Amino acid sequence: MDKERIDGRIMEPLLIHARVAEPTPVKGKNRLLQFIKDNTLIAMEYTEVHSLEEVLEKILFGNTALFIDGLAVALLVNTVGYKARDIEEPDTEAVVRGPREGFTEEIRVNVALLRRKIRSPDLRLESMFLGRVTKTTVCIAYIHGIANDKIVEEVRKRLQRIEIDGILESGYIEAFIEDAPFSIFATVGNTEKPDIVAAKLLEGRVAIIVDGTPMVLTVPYLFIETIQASEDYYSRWPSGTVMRWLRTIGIILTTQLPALYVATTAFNPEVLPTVLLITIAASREGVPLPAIAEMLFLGVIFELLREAGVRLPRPVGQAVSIVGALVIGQAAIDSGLVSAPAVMVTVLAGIASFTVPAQSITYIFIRLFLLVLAGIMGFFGLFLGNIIILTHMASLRSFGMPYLSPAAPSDYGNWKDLVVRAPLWAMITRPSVLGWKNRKRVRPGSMPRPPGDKEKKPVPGGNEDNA
Amino acid sequence: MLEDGRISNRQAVFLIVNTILATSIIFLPGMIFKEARQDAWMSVVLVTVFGVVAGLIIASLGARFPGRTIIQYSGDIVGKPLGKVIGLIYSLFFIYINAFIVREFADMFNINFMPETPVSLFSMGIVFAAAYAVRSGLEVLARVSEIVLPLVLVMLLLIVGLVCPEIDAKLFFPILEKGFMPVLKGAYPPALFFRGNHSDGNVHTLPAQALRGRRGNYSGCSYGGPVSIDGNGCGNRGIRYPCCLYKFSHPDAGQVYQPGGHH
Repeated sequence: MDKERIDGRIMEPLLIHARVAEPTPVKGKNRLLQFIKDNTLIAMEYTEVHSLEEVLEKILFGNTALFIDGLAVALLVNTVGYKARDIEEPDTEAVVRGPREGFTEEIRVNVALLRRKIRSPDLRLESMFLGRVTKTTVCIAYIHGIANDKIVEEVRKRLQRIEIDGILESGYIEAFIEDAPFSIFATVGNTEKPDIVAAKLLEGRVAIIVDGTPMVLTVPYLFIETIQASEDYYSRWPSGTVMRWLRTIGIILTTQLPALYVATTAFNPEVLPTVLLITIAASREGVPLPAIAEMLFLGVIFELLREAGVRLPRPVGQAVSIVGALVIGQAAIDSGLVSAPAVMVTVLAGIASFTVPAQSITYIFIRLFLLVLAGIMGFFGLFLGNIIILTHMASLRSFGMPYLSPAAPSDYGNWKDLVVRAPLWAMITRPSVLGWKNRKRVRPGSMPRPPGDKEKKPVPGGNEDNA
Repeated sequence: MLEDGRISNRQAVFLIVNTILATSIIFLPGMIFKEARQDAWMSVVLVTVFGVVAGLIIASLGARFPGRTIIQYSGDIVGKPLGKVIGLIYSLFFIYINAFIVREFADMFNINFMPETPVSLFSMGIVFAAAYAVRSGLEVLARVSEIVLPLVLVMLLLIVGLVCPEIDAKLFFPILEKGFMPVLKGAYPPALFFRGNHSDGNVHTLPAQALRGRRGNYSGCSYGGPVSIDGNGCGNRGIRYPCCLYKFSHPDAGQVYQPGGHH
């Protein structure tokens, strides 16, 4: 509640301005009410309420109720105000190039941030209150005419179905609207950055903003979004493309590497070149654990250190990583508990998972699953595990969209934003899986070229001097 | 969760090529080589011609009886009793070909990777994976094949590219050392295999077409045929060709894995 507003805008006019004001021409019972309305509550937002219940409810929001003796009505004045965190750069989604601002906990600020990015009357915001006790404001944002109406309708329907006592974070919403609650893959995306949400809205997605958290949900969420980053689009396209390939390699390394290590060393060492084989065998000499136990042991240690580093305050976290990485790693090798290649493989798999921050826990699950299968059945287990995971991913859908699209079902027109990040002037249409109407994004033929190059005719409606 | 089984023509082609490709890479070269020796490449050309003809026949049948499978229309062509027999053979063919592929896969892993493990483990594993995929529905199966096939092709091209320096053209000679008979004999098993899979391909494409027909666009029915030829042609020429050429012209060609034999 805003104390200054109560003092300056309600109390001061009532006590001081009212003395010098002209009496209202209205006669009768409502004279005093009209007088207060006309002369004291100037430029204040207020409503008249007639039930005590409503008064109670609104007061809990931070409003002020003004009762007048002898009248069965109360004036509810909007004095909602509270301290919110300033707009800061989110720690979780740091960028080198691109806007630094992030969402805050205050939904009005978040909506304003979004409106500032998309200044169109077509940006529609629909709010509702969810949570029986908390009555949290939840807001659906989409761009009318770009977003698929069916998806918007589905989001609305799924949100209205939620009945819970409290919504404290957007994760509560996610748990109720996701398509595959038992899957290890997320089918609802989240981000802390307005520019990312704006980009997704422009692609035809729907965002769900929840009061009290900077994490905004976006649906439908497809698997390619884990390898897409906002910087891919802000930097030049060759670097965007290469970064995307690197992230793909990161996913492959982080999920496959430990399992591959176990499958090769424990089952089929003959697939390695002889020199490499001898080096690995020499470093495994005297290691008491089998390869699978070694990998599990190191994997658990790595995840422990990572988790400890995240939770602790930053300076302490750094100390933990140094102690963990240097001391434990070195000591483990020196004491002969684990071999050096195993440490390398674990650390490489762990580091690679940091290149794809979204869904990092999913990759730990996959890594473990493949590791256990490879420990039981070698390469066959690895193969089987991958087929099962691939089949599972292919069977997922997010708000009706196949999870692996546009890779499968393949849509080569949309590979411009999958295999490569095509130049912006070449991404003429929006992703077709999301919306079918209003697909045009860029004017065709907008590739920059030197002036005077008349080889290609300008698009009709262009500069008439060339005609 | 079973999906409604609506796949595009391209997905159907991917499924067919995927079915044929594995056997074409691992299995058939050994079979052809056993009979035709250094003339195996001629067998491959022969099989390609044969495959296209067989594909054309089945495609035109498919165009004539849109929305129906070979089991349904065989009765109309040869009479009801004989049609039932064809239908039975046709159904048995699928059991046979799947058993064949499962065994082929299990043998490959057993012989190349884990010779001491019982072969049934591999069979059970792959059947389990297949069951999981089938349970998820045709659409999922098609999507998986769309991801897997490009990967397989890239790896295949990589292997072919890496062994290019090893190709020795002298190994093609002498041409037709023992006459034309071995070439024909070499072409026989793959021809059988491919003919089977052509019809298999049509089964894949037909449901897609039936669906399109229901939506009132019958023009789609006429191009199931070309698609299935396209798929098989691609499987025959584009993919099998270079890898066979490599295998037959390689000094170690005799070491190529042979079914049921020692390698």
